[in-house]
Amino acid sequence: MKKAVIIQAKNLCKTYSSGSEQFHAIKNLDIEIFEGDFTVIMGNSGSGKSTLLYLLSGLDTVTAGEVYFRGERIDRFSERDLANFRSKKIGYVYQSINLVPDLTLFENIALPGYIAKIPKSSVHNKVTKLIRAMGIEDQQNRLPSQTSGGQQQRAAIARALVNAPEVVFADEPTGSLNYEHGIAILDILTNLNRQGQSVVMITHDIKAACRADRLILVKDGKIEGILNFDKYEENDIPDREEIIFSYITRKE
Amino acid sequence: MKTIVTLCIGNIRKKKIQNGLIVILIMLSTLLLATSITLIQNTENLFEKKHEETNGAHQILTMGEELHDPKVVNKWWDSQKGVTASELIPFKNLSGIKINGKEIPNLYLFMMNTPKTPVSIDQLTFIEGKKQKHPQKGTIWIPTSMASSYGISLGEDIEFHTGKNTFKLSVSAIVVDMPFGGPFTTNARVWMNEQDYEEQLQAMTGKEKHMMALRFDEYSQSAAYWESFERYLNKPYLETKMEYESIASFYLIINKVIGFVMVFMGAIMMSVSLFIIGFSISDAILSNYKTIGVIKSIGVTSRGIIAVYVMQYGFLSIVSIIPGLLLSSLLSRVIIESSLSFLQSGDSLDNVQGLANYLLIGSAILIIVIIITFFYSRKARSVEPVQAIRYGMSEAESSKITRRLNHSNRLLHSIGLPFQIEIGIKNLSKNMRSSALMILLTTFTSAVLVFGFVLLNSIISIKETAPSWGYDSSNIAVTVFNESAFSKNNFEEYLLSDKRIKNFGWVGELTGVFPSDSSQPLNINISVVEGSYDDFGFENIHGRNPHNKNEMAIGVNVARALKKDVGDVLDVYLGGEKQRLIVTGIYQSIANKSYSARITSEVAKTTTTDIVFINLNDVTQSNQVADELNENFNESISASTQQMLLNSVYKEAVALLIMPLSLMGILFITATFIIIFSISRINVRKESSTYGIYKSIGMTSNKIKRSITSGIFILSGVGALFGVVVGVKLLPLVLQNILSQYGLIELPLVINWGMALGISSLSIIAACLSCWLSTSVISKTSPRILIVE
Repeated sequence: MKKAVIIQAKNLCKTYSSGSEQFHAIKNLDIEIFEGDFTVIMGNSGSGKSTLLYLLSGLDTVTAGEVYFRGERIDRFSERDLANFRSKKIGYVYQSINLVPDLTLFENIALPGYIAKIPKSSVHNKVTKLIRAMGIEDQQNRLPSQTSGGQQQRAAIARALVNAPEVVFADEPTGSLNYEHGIAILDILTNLNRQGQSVVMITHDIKAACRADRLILVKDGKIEGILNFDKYEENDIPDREEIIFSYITRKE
Repeated sequence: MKTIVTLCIGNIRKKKIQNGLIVILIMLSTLLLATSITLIQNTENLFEKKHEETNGAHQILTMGEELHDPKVVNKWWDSQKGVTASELIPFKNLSGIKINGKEIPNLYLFMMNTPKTPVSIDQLTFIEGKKQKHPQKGTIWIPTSMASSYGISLGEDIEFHTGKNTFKLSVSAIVVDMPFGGPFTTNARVWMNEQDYEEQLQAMTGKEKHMMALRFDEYSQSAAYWESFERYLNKPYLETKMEYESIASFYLIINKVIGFVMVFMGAIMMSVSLFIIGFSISDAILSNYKTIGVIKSIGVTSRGIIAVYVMQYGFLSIVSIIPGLLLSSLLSRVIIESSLSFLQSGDSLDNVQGLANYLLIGSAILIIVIIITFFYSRKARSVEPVQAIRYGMSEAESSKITRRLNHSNRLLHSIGLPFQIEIGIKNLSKNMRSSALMILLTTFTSAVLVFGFVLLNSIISIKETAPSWGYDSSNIAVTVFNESAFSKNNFEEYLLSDKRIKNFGWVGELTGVFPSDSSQPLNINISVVEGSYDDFGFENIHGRNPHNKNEMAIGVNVARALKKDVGDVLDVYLGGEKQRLIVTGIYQSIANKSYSARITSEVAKTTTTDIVFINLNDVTQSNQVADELNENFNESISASTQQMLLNSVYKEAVALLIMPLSLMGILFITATFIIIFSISRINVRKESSTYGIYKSIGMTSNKIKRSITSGIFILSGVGALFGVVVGVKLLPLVLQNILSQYGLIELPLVINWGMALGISSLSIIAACLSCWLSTSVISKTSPRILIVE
């Protein structure tokens, strides 16, 4: 069965200027993200993978090219439409977690719900469920600075999910966590995907990349190659690790 | 040293916006500080200084009733040691004048014959026009008060009415004439060419009068001279005498009010500017905590870090202080010149605006900046690299903020505010010092605006409170300016035959001498009313008006000097006769520093009953009745409605105060705007990643800006409310205490709460607008950049 395209980008370009110098982070890139997939983007530092994620999620503006979400061109959205899009259609998880330091974990998770003007009682019910699912009930009334990195990242994932987005973007979500916490976060994302949630994740970690249905390799602002897999099962890891490793090595 | 210079240059180059804002804040502080010092230095004794410079008179004698021979009087005073007497100057009174075809009411002119300019006393200061020995034929010199009140400029023609004839003279000079040129005056001396005087005024009905001025080496000894003079006359001096208190009263009061406004504003400016310098530098250093940690971790010593910051802020200060001082020299000159325009004292500013003064102020600011920088950067000593890198602040500071946030979270949860406002409030509770500064600023700005408004409103609405300022509240006041052409009987018959007139009463003055056990005898003007003080609305602070022939009301300062209260008995010499009178009331009067008294005509008669107060059955007919009186008795009287009198007198007060108060208001609003703009901008930079997160989860820029501004709105609202209380209650109380020595112990304020709140809201608008504009950077920046930065 053919999968539905949820995000599509054509001739995507992003150039950063610093004084007279220009750096082309993304160069004429075409990409499709499919509904229900766990898409993993890999690449070396400076390859343009984070920039790609920002552009696909509408967090940054394109220099040239087009970005479509379910056929709607988001790179031409007004600020209000973009805000609405970020609030309802996507969830974003950062490597540096980026919880609002002045708000408790509960408030941080509830915030997108408030912004989307969902009734407070519904938001609170949803937040309570997510907090339970993430295993951070004891920490919910604490400020981020009073909790561990793993707990903060769980809260960040919960925040990304509170408005039931169509796609969750995760930029190296395990990058700042220890092994144990990292695995837990990956399990959460995998389980979400199994329930039908589209996930787009950046990682450097081949073990983490094993969770992918589709692996996109980015190099110098372009797509270097794509690997497709079946749905992830835990015993797939050794084989997939080898496949991914040899693929990357070959491409480099 | 190389490391320190490299780090310092790096700091200056890298943080252009933050450094730019600090430059603006230090420049603003310099401007406020230097202006406040210049204002404070200029407010004291400007009147006394000018009085001294022009050899100003302590007393002015006017003779024209043939009760004394002016030449004899002049000769006696001229022969006294310790007293300078001017020559006798002949003059005639005139009331009707037209400027640009418009009749000017309520202006009584002394048309002075000027064969030569006065030289011994009350020397004229030429403000406009060529200084000459006497006015050229066809021209006159007029005082600054008349020129500014009626907008008369050099070369303009003024039309004078002498009853039947009219003549025109051109203004060839505008002069400062101290005794008749102060604020609120309704008299003016017009200096005429001798030939014009003879041609135009000699034929006019009415006697020629003479004026002479006295200046005492020791003014406190004047009573002794007067005793001696009256012994020489063998009777009391019965003609008109204007005392120093009357000459100086309005100058001193208005000078004091303006002085108070400036000293108060100056003090606030100074404290605000020091606070700003302290805040902005400490904030800039503390926000660099992480960097300090990193630098320390690579081996730079604490002393090295202190040196980097001292060098950085020392350099920024020098860049900011110079333009701040230049701006201040312009601003303080404008404020002082506009507020004390009646003294034309701009020249005296040169003394306090010298280079040395500015060098001193500039150096003081530089030292303050260095001390503050040193103090805060000393905290670098206690910076633990690991804590600094982890928390961006010390662990203790981090715990403090966490505790504060937890506390405010609990509080906000219990209130249940919309989350956008919660975000705004949390922003404030996190940055307590900047929040305190913003409350302080808006409180001061609102207090300045409200106080200025209340003061002006009280003067504009003086009709409601005229008796509390020592005036009557009758409907019409008639002044007899040409007694030779006036018949009291005919006039009274006319008044009695007019059914519209409810009652009328004559008011005159005589000089009374109060012996005092503890000091010199008091020699003051006493009002004498034929009729009832109550009918004409005179009020007392304590007690009541005199009704009987053994009663008297006294001014506040007379009561103080004689230590008398209501019910006490006092001795007074009236026309040389000693009388024992009971004090029935104590009143305040702005016109003569409350050095006056009131009796009825049953106590003593006066020779100069030249004012009539008239009350009407229907107040709305005031203008019509006054016009008819002027028409029927145009050669001898001038009738004005009370509204007209108060309007013309207090229009000048408003004109005098409105400029300095408005300038202060604008200065404070501008300062509030710039400071809050800078603070908000610094906070946006500190919190940029949080705003980036808000944007990334779907908040629009406008919503984020609204959240931040809602916090500022609450904060400035609190400040504005405090300001209203300070402006309406506290400042008037302080001013009242200052003015109490001038005989005003209860400031008659007219408070319009609605308008006061409206005016105070300007500080909220300035705060919110500056916050809104300073957060525009959020709209222009993508979430990625906000988070990454």
